[in-house]
Amino acid sequence: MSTNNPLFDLSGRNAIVTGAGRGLGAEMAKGLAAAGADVVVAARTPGGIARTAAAINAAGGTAHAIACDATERSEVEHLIAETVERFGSLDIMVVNHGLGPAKDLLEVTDEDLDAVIGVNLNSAYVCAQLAGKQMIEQGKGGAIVITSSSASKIACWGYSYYGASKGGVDQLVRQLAQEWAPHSIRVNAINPGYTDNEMAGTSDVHDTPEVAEFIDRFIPFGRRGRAEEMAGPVVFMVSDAASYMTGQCLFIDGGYSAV
Amino acid sequence: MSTELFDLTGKVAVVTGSGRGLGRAMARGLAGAGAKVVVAGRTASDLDESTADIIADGNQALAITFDATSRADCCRLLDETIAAFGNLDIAVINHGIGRAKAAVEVTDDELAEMIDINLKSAFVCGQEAARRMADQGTGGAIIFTSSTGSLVAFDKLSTYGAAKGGVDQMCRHFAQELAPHNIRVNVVGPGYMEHHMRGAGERHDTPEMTEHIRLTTPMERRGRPEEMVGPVIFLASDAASFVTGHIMPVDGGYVAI
Repeated sequence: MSTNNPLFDLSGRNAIVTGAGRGLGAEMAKGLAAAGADVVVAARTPGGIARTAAAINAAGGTAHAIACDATERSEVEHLIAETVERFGSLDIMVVNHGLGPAKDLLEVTDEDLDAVIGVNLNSAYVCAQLAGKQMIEQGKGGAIVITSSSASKIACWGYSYYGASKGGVDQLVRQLAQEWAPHSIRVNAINPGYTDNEMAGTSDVHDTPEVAEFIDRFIPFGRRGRAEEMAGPVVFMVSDAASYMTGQCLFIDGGYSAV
Repeated sequence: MSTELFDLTGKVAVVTGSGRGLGRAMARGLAGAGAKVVVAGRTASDLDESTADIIADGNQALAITFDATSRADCCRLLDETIAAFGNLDIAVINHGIGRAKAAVEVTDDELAEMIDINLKSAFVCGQEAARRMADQGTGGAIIFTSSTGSLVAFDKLSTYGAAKGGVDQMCRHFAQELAPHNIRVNVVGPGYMEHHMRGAGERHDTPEMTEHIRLTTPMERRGRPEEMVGPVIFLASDAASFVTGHIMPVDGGYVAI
């Protein structure tokens, strides 16, 4: 048995991962590259994506970093155009950037709401929309994965607006799956639960003894997920191994949403 | 390039209901990913064909006949697996029947048969596999084949849907109780597939059904048995190390719309 299983092989495919400067996105990008894809790593700040790209290239993969503010449609257009120019096509889009602040819902301001819905839902919509448009023009199908959250399904304290944005992502995935199935574009979500690597704006909420106790009590696996544990699910979802899966939300949460 | 996250070399798997259809494809796929596979079911001649395919691929398989509704047979299957291959790492509990009848006409016997085969025997197989995995202390992965019929209603599938809804919830309970043993428990939920299970053929092989599937499934087609392979390998492998208690439809988008 070789370790090269063609079902999961992404050789010859070109991917973009947003929010790939660190954390889950960086590990997803590394996983896709290890499975053979050429990967554009994107994020607002250049430092993180340069490190992610360097790590992939040092490991023998192919990666290129493009700084992009995913909340600006013109910048996402540029990201996709540059990817296609450099690699020839866009086959895999992983929309992973996001914000995760938490606040008592009675104290959430319009600005808080606009920021989270704007980044987690609206800009995810635009990234998926533009990627889908490119894939439809290419005419050879594709795979889109949007990073959602277990908070799309179950309530977590302080996550009223974050949960709303991710609930929207789950439904967006179902909608796009339906609209783009005739173009052989599969659209799915992955829904991480508590992970080691918290996203922008969450560390003060998550690194407390109360949260550690909560995780011990409410997550069957009794621990947070590791960022690397997102790589396998993403590779699976975008590969031919998932050829009959679309419109699905894959929970990677140690059983959190099952209990 | 490496897909080693999905490599099952050194693992031992049992697949029930693997004499034909989805189970046969799953068994062959797991063996292709490196696992030593026991193909298990009631009909020896079917199992032999499944085993022959795997061996022809250059991989390892063993056929064991068993009746999934007998706890003693489940135990014998699992013990013979461990005797032959040394341990038990992956149990794919895939056997089942499909029967369609208007809910108001279902008899006690029909209800009992459906629940016995599709729910109770899945529980027993899962439980006995879990006992052995827990004793080994090296973790494991249990995968139940459920159905989109666990999530949404289909005409005349009330007993089937009830059994499969039970399987989904059993999966969550197993996942919770077995997590301390590092045993992950998940479900694959096939939608309309090209291969039909025992008892479901005549209902599905009609032009009307093909048209219905085209209209109601975003991907506008049935799934192929081989399309269950990737999901099962994923859930059985280290690639899914933080995935447990998850219900994974493999349905061309059917339940999304």
